[in-house]
Amino acid sequence: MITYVIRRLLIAIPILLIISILLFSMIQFVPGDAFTSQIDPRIDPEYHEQMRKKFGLDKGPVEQYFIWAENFIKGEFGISFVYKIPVQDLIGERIMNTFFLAVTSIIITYFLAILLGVYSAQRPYSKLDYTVTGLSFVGLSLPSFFAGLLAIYLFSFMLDLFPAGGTETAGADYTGIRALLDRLHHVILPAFVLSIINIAGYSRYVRAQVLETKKMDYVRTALAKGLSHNLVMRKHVLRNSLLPLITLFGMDIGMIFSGAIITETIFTWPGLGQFLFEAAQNRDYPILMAGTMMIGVFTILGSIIADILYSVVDPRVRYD
Amino acid sequence: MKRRLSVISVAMMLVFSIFLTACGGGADSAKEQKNSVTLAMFSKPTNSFAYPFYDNQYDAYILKYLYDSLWDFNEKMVPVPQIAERWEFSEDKRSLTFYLRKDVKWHDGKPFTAEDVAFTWEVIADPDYQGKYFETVELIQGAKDKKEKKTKNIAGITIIDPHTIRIELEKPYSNTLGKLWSKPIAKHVYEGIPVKNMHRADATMKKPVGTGPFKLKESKNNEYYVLEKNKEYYIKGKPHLDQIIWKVMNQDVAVGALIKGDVDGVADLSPSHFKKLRKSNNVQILEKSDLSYQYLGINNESPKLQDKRMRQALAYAIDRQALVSGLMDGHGYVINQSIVKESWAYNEELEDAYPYDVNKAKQLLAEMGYQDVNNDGFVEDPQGKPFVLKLDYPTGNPVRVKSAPIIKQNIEKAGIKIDLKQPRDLNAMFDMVERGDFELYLGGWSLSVEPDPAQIWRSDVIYNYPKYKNPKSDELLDKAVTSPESFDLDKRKKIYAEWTKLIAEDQPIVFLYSMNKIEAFTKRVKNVKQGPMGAIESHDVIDWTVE
Repeated sequence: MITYVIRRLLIAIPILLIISILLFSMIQFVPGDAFTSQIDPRIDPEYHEQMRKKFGLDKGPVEQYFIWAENFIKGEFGISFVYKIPVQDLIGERIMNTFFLAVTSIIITYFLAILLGVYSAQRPYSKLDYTVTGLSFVGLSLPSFFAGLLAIYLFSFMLDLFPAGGTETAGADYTGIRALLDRLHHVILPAFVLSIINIAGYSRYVRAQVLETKKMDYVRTALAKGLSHNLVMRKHVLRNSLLPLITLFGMDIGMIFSGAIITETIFTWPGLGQFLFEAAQNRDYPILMAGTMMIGVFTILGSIIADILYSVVDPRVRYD
Repeated sequence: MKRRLSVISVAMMLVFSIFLTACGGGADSAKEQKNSVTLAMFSKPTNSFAYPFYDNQYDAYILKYLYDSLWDFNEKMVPVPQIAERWEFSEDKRSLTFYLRKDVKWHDGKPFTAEDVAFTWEVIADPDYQGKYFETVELIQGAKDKKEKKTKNIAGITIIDPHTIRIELEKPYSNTLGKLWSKPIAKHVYEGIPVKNMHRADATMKKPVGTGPFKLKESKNNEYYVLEKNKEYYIKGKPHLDQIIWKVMNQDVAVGALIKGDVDGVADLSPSHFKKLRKSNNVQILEKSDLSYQYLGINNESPKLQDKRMRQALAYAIDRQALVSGLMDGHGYVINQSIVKESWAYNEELEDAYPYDVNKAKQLLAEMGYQDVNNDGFVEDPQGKPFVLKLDYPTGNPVRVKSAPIIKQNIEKAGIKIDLKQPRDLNAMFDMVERGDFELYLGGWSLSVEPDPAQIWRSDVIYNYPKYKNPKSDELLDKAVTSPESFDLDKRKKIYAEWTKLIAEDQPIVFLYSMNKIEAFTKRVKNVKQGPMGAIESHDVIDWTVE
């Protein structure tokens, strides 16, 4: 098991190297740089030349890549062109916000998806099942900007249940448990919006899997042995039905850190997604490189974790 | 299984309801504070809370409340005293003396003096200075020497007494006050910090010390900023508000929040929001013409477009009034010059230049020998070869994006075939434009209160994207700021009238329209009025009150 993990981690190194080269070349092909759009007739154009020089944009692409790579390995992500401060200072708090939002969203997703999936599978083709199926299709087809605005309109403006955006109440200065509750109060709506699509999708997987598993011989055997319906459902059916969700979970870990551009923007949730999107628009390469590399790292880690989880949940899976 | 699940759901419901009650519903408790106003901006500041280092409109919103200016500009964009009580030019106009107010204090209680003013100019001229405003001190004698490390201090600055400061000018510029840096930072705060680190010092990013009507009390990066009243403000009894909260919000959400009353003011709304807001009886809308205009850029060096009649034909062919009425519901006006209506320098005579006239456009084309030889509805060039103009435009600004296909249609009606390209991202498009790789493009300029257009229009400047070269134009532009008569505002206005007329005749670009600046507030905010940069970005915030 340990050798397996080490092997996977070693394979990750060339993958990351390739990712970084690809990213860097893509950035080089994009026309314009961080200073092209800062068109301001009041400013001496020489200033932009000085800045290009200062940030090393006047060097050749290969040289720029090696400078970047060397610093990256040393843990220095460079200085943002726009903010003019080190990238790690900017990314830190963003990661925490994105992490908090994603974890909440994942909890909501799995809780509701399993709940709805199992419910529908218990009584397939009943009214409830059709309702859940119908709602899932609606959920799957809702674009997130629309879902976000709709949620704000309904739950914030009409019903006044949740705040319309931000991570905490502005200027309230809450401390301790009050501050935590305030943050939870703010995260629910964006997390829910972020979950809708996944709830809709995952509950379909769960439903199909439960229905499938219920037909298995070992379930019939277990029931024939006289085990209670609940016990069979929990021990035999549910556990086996959740296997495909683990693959999805591995991918979700990558998502945790990549953030959600649209949801974050609509809810003024200062997370990574929104940040990277802006960096791309501004051609703020140090941020873009650092952020995308991080997503790369976590996506790879996520798939390793998912594989490990397989062996935990499914005794048939062994890594040697 | 089923029962277990329902137990869990009930438990979840309980948890939900507990913190719902704990948080007292969705209402924002901070705004309950009586004398407080919440404003929304659509993107986040970069936390450069000192003018010499800022670079971004969203920082400017906050800076305006934290700092004062030596002089400000009134609604006609003429300089008026603020924390400089008055100023005078010497007889030969080569030196300028400022008399500062004596009752102004920094937020930490220290008095504001001429030392602070001199210090600020010295920082901006420092070779290590990281901001981009060197041009604003370049006109002081010796600033350039300091920048080039020939001297340690700017020779042209003399502190006469703690509240009087004189500068010697490189040349007598009549627009000195429009150019010169006017926003001091505190010497005692920045003194110990190396100039190359000032832009990222805590004094800039976290704890700005200004002289303005509000202090920065709390900032939650990229999310909200709480400003509290400066009780020691030099104008007694002002500001009236105790607190201003700036929130970063998505534009559509902000409009909803305004109607609901969660925010009290929103800057820079688009005409589509206007319609929605007008229906709400909770909201007051303010509107004025903005310091910006949109134009059709033309490559004056392209052989196809060198003849000014071709450029004039383009101007006649576009129904600009229809763009204003159709795309912005009339919240704007057709413009024929690079000076906006609000400015004292605006040339009223050009109001009706280039009315929409397809026949006139066709006539000009015919004069040049462009004719539709093969009867396909489009003209061929005088040699009989197909004639097509390429039109680029950037993504972003929704009105501009919508205008592109309409402009294509308009011009094609006059017989010129247009190859409308896919919209490009702003950086990508201006990268092309800077390289001169274009024929026509759509762009816009935001202007400052100082009308001098030399930075966009002189033959030798980089921002002269159309590559317009006319010695007469350069001469007038110089005359408007350096000639002795230009110190008289009326005479300077005449020089600009002559220049704008010349540009209108040459049509190096087609001026399109200027869209209004629309701002909206809840009705509980009183005494709001729009200055040259609008109501929010205005020192008049000190007059605001709430019910």
